Amino acid sequence: MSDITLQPTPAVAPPEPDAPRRWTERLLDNKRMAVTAGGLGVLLVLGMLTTDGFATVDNARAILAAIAVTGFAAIGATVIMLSGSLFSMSTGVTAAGSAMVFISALDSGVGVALIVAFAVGGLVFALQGFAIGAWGANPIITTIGFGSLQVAVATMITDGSSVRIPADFTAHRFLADTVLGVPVGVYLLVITAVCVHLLLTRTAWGRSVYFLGQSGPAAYAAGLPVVATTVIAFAIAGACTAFAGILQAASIGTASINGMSTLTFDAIAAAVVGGTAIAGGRGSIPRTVIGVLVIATTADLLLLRGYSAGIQLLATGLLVIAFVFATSRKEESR
Amino acid sequence: MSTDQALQGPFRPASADQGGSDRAPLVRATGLTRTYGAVQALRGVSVSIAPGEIVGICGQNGAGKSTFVKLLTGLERPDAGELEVHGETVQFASTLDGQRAGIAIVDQELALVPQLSLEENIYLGHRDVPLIGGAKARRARCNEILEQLGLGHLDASTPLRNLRIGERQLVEIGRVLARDAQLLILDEPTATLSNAEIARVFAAVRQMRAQGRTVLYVSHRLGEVLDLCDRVVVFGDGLIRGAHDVTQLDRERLVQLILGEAGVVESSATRSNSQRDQGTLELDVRGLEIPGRLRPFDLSATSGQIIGLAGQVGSGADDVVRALGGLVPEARGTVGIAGRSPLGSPARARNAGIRFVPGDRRGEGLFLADSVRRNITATSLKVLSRFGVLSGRRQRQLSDERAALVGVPRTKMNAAVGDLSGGNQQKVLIGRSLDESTPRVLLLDEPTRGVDVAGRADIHRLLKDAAARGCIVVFASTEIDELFDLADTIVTMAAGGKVGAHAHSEVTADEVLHEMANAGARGASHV
Repeated sequence: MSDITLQPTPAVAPPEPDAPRRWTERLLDNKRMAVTAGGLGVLLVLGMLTTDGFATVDNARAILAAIAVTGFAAIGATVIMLSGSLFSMSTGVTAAGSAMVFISALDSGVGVALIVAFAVGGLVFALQGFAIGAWGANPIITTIGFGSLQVAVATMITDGSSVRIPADFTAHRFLADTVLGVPVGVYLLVITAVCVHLLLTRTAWGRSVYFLGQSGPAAYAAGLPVVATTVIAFAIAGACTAFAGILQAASIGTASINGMSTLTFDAIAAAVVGGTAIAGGRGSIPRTVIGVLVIATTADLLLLRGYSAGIQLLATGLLVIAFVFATSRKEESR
Repeated sequence: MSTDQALQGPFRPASADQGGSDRAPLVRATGLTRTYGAVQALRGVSVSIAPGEIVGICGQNGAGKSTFVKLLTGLERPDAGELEVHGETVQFASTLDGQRAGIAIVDQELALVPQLSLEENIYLGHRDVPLIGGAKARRARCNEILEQLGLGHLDASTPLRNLRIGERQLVEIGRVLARDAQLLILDEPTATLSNAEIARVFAAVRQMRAQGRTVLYVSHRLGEVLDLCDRVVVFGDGLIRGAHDVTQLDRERLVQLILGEAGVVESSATRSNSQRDQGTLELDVRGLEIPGRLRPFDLSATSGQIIGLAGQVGSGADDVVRALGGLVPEARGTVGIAGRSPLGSPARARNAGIRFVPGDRRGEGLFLADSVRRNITATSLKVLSRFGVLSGRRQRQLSDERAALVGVPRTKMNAAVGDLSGGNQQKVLIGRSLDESTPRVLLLDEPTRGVDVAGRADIHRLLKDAAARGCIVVFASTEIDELFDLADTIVTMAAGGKVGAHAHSEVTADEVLHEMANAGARGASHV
């Protein structure tokens, strides 16, 4: 049948069509990832050259300790963004709420508390995913609305106060421990990142997430399970978000519903700086992890050089704006 | 890689002015070269275009037509070669530069804003619109343009979303008229138009020629090209295969030029009804209805049948196909395929055995940034996975199998599907729908819109093969040739209802056109 299909003969022999692409080629393809990773490299070199106390083991630990909580929330934000549902504006509230549930349930044992907290975070997000996937609700409005609902419920139950882990309770402490000088949360983050990455790249669900993010109408017309895909994406994001809250609660011993309000922005910022397309369909978990590292390193550098928290926030904001600008121009030219 | 190709431009001397003309040229291109990745889209194209002529641009998909047009408008820049307008060398940095030089384009993909009014759309991006003032003059000019296009009955402040797609296409042409361009490029302008609307476009184009303007008419519809154009430039393999006055051409000669040496198309007249297995699949549609758009519609078909729904834009033919594909939630009626109904959602339609190929393949069909491999297996994730885990090996196997079946070149398997030609994109979509061995109902909306001559023959054969294997094929088309090439049964539709149903052998093109147009005239009154 190819006798009547005319194709211009390329002057340069194309690569062997069936050979699986080498990882180096794929890496080169991921220009955005290269940009972000390059940025991280520049930051590290700059820090070593100009800032005393940056290139120390202690400081490396400090950076790692800072990424665990944001990292979990950022993984959640990435999954949602990839699926084309923009982002959840209630990440911070759900993390804090799950942390409060976790603390309250500690009486029944750490295992039970973990499961209950995961279930609450996952369920709350899954409900929003259903509203967005099945009824086409606007993700921003939906998640803001659900955020208010969660604040309302938490405030009614606790009367607006925070919940604390009893001082004599120790079973949860392993979450705040360090192994070989690195916080347990960082190990868990790496494991979770690998798992979610595999889910996204190796499963039918993950493929559907990318399709859905690229073109909602095409995914719908193709009969892909749009609703299920969105609900699962939100449920996974919810569980990750809940764990961000649990880690935080385990390390500081207390949680209140408005205590993690900056997490929403931090999570989105990490995904965007990592190069995930805001409209969905492009990006990956490894990129987001690099994004988290870039933001944490920037904040650390500024801290070491004695800048205030305000300046740190400013720098993160500028970073996000720069990335959105740089990447959206590339998308247009596609 | 590009050094090698960049050199080719200069080495192809200006004497290779393959598309010459005697008059002082409005536009002259010399040795234009453009490369995308590993694909050389243009390999040194030289042509002159005189003022006041209508030039047809023909060629298969991937021949270089679209690239040539992109270079002319300033949307993209050549790797090598020169472009002259009015004898001066130009280098367009953007389409705005192209506009300034008097070059304007009507794209095949509609680029209008549904929420804005006709007037606002016509002046959208117009470089002469000041912040304030000039509103009256604009309104007057706008009404003039609408009148010229036969849309005089519409108010200029009507929002565009109230118009049908064919009318929108006319507005798009009006937009270019408003720019007072010297060179006007129409890229497949009639793909979505009814015959009456096509006549209006032709009249507008001829009027422009009378005013001394030049029109480039890019089209796969050879009849239109021969009817309208003064001269035809044929592209092939990134070069110009020939440029001829239409007086020296007939349809056959033109097809030959377009196809080149390999230009032997299997005669579509060889219909092999006898070979067809009489399968068991049955499609039964009773009282299919969409409130306000489609009156109750009946249809029944069995395995091996190809049903063509003949109808102009707005006739309801595409509505039937979309409703059966599950894409019209408000559709009602009794539809059964082996006892299951496809109405409600595309997922339900799939489960009932429907495979739907949308008319808008870039918007509703493909995942443009993803590879051919992923696209051609996009609806078979269940087959590719075990316990939800995808198998890379099975994906390679299945995608290779399907690509070979539909004739997508193996070299393109890892390319982004958005970079492929229209014909290959459509083949990917059809390949995706031929997913299992069991008989299916294949639904297609305009199966060969924007597809070239060879691709069209391929796609028609694929659909006939599918029918021969026991599928039911139902397609909506506005093209009379396609209907007669493909369909066993032609169902004519107009103004949201069925007009007649005929066996292919018992009806003539005139009768079908008559039925489509007659009721079409009735339909026009309700707008």
